[in-house]
Amino acid sequence: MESEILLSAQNISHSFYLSKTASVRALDKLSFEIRRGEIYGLVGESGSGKSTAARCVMNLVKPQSGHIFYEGVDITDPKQFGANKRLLQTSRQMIFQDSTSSLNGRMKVADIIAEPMRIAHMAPKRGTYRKEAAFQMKYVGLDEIYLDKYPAELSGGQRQRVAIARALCMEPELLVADEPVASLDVSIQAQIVNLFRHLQDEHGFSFLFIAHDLSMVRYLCDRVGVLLRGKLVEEAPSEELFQNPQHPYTKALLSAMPLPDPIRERNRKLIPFDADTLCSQGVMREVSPGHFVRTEGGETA
Amino acid sequence: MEHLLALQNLHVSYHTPRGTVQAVRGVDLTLDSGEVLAVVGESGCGKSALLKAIMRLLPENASVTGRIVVNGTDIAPYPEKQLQKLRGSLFSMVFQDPMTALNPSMTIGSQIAEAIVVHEPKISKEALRARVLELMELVEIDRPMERMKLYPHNFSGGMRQRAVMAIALAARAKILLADEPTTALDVTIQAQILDLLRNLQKKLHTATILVSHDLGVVARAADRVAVMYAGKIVEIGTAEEVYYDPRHPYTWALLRALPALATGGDALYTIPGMPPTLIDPPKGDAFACRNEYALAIDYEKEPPLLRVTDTHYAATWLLDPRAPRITPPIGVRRHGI
Amino acid sequence: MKTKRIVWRAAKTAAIFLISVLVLSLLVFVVSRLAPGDPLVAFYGERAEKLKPAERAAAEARLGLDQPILRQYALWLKGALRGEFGISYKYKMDVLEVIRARLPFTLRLGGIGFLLTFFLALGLGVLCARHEDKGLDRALCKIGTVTSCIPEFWMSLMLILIFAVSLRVLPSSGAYDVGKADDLGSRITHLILPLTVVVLGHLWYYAYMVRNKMLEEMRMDYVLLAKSKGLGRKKILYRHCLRNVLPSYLSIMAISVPHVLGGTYIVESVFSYPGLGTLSYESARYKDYNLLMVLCILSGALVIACNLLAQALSERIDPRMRAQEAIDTWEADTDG
Repeated sequence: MESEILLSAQNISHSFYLSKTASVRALDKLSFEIRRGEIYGLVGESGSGKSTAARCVMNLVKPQSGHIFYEGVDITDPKQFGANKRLLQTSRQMIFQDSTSSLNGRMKVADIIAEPMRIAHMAPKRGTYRKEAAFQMKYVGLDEIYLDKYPAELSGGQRQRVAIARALCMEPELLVADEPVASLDVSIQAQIVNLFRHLQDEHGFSFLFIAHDLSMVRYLCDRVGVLLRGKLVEEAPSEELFQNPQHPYTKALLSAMPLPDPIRERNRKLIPFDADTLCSQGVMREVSPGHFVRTEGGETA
Repeated sequence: MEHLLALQNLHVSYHTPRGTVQAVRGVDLTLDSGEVLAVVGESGCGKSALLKAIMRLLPENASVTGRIVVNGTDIAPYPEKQLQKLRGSLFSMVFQDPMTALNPSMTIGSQIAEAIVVHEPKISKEALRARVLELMELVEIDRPMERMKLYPHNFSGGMRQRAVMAIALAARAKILLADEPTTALDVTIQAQILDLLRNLQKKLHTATILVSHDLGVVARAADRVAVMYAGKIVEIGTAEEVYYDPRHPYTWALLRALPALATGGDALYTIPGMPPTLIDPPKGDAFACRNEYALAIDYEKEPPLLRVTDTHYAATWLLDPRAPRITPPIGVRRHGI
Repeated sequence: MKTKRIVWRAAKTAAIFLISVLVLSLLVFVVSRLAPGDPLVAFYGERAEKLKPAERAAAEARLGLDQPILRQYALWLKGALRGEFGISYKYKMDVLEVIRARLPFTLRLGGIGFLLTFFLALGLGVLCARHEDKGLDRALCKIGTVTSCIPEFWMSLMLILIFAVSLRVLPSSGAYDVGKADDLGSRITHLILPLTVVVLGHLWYYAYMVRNKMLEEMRMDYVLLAKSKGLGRKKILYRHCLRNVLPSYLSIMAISVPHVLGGTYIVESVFSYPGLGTLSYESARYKDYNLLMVLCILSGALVIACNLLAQALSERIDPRMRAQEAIDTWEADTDG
């Protein structure tokens, strides 16, 4: 099962300062790895630091301590970053939750999609930037007639496809998606998720998928990490995590996962949790192959 | 039996420069005390317009026709002044985004108090304070004494939604209209708010209309479910009937799109095409062109709501005895308790 | 703990203020001296041109004009710290005396003008918002667009033409009739026309702002919630929307105090109103350095003070801006 590691975050910590005296610890010695060709999911509630983690991976936030290695390059080190700037800027791309605000409303779709290529002075493989944009649009399932439209003329799902096409035109290796479907209708969510699946299966993209919708994570991700206050409390292959959750916080999260089954839902009790007591010291220990749980005290694993 | 609320042939239209958008096209609904009715559909299907039409919170370019019967009285022709008295005391609303639904520059306590005072102007200071605390406890806000003095930005999303619910219940409204109340919240908070809705409805015997785009979410709280498409109700029934024995192809499609019901490595089902524009709705069944089970008649004649059981109706010609028999591609398996 | 913080903040604000004024004085000093022109003209009038080189050098030495600029500044600063700002070359009087005589006139015109602008703009803005897109709103907006397009000096001249020349009901210039300095009626009639120009010149800009801010607030979700509580339109408007508009309006108006006062300068010169506006114009024209310095610093200090006031106001009124609250937010949030 060993596959090559594409990205490895090691002990990254980051705090935000609210004022001179108060700060919020968004990431607390977080470590995780993304293997080549896998979809790695990070789940947690708002404030758990999952978006900060995505931003650290994209060099949008510089972690205050710890290292992130991408293809063996330490992206938190300015020197190494500078030396590999081109690789790092093209081969990692991000997709945001809100496509309304992440697309410039005054640019046409064709220009939005090709803009990163223009900035990176990439020669369009298919002749012109416009042809390149058309190709990427077809790739993500958007008709060419939208090339000259403005984002406001598209539906939410179409806009998110434009955002994905923009990310894909750089021919990235890693796609970082921060809640990419959270603001979409269920039926549109399915389209976007299918597209992600397709990109992974057929074209070998790797994903960091940030979400709070657990059923989506279960369906899409290969491995999942559960974040609580900036720390991983459990990490396992997706099915294993959902079948056999170990950490009380994971169990609480799963108990809140909505199921389209009225009788079962009505009789299901929420498992309460107290984040303060759970906020877990202790170490990650392997309970079964690939399944790690944070457990209190004892010897280090 | 007289229903608490009955909508009869309700139409809502928005008059825009590009034409008249028929957001709701003839909806009939009933709602009884103590029940939660979920209205589910994609964005643009008219579910929010339906809620706002009941309370007449629509913008000025909207017009409403049809009957809105409350306890036997049609309130549709009521003028604004009379409606004002009903808002808050008969029905009140919970909004999708609790972030923007609260006034940022007023304390939570004073916003709840305001909702009480509108309908009880002569209430004493002590009684008002006691009632605010009681409401905050009712919606399970801890330490209400301290929290009533805080501003919305001091609260987390879940807390804010609880505060909005306290406001909605302040004047003992009998009908609660909740417009995607959990969409902006985390899963754990979402489940808590849904449980709270259900508990309140048991405790206070209110009736609730819960609007959502996600069939997965409403299962926890709904007694009955109505599925809306293009301004019409296409299927309505008890929660059990709609989840375990869905009859309309659109309900099938919504269920099949849920990842929770996906089996193994199959791709999720997606509905082909786009919802029709409601400026000029298509002839026949509005869903026909996206429906893989569409019959020839669907393109000609709109199906009425056909009876499945006394509580379960679906607007599809597939229920007609002359239609070919089709095994539903989905249906949640009924689990034992 | 709390008082300590307030004292600390006040001290910090005062320090910012003093440093800003100091930097400003240096800038004005250097720039005014680099500008072309002969300060001796202010002192000697026409005679300055006929001075012999030796006499001129002596005069410059007496006024300290022969020193390098920075040294001149140091000397000036030394005097200023003792409260001595030198004499006005033109009026041959202590500059503070000159200013003291003119200040009340500007304060009257500017102060009343500002207050009128403040309340009228608020009232008109809310009125327009209440009647959005109805006849009244449209009419007021049209009138506003037209009036705010008229330059102040032209409006002044037209008003003088109409009310002073044709109708002869109001005086055209000065602050009072000759020999009637203590007559309140005379002072008021002299104030009406300049005041009208000052107010009309600024009113619509701020009224529009209030109108648009109000409309923006009226589209917010909390208005729907307030409506669904059963509140009437008027109450929602005044209790909810206005409440959220006021903080930003107050702080914007605080910043615009100098703007409105500055507007009086042009009006003063058209109406020959004996305020600081005419004085500033003269002092710049005649290179009356000492007077110019104090006038510039005075207006500069006013601008800086108003900005600080605006900041303090918005922090005070808007709960979201209070720094301490950030900590409470975090604490309350984690309990959620």
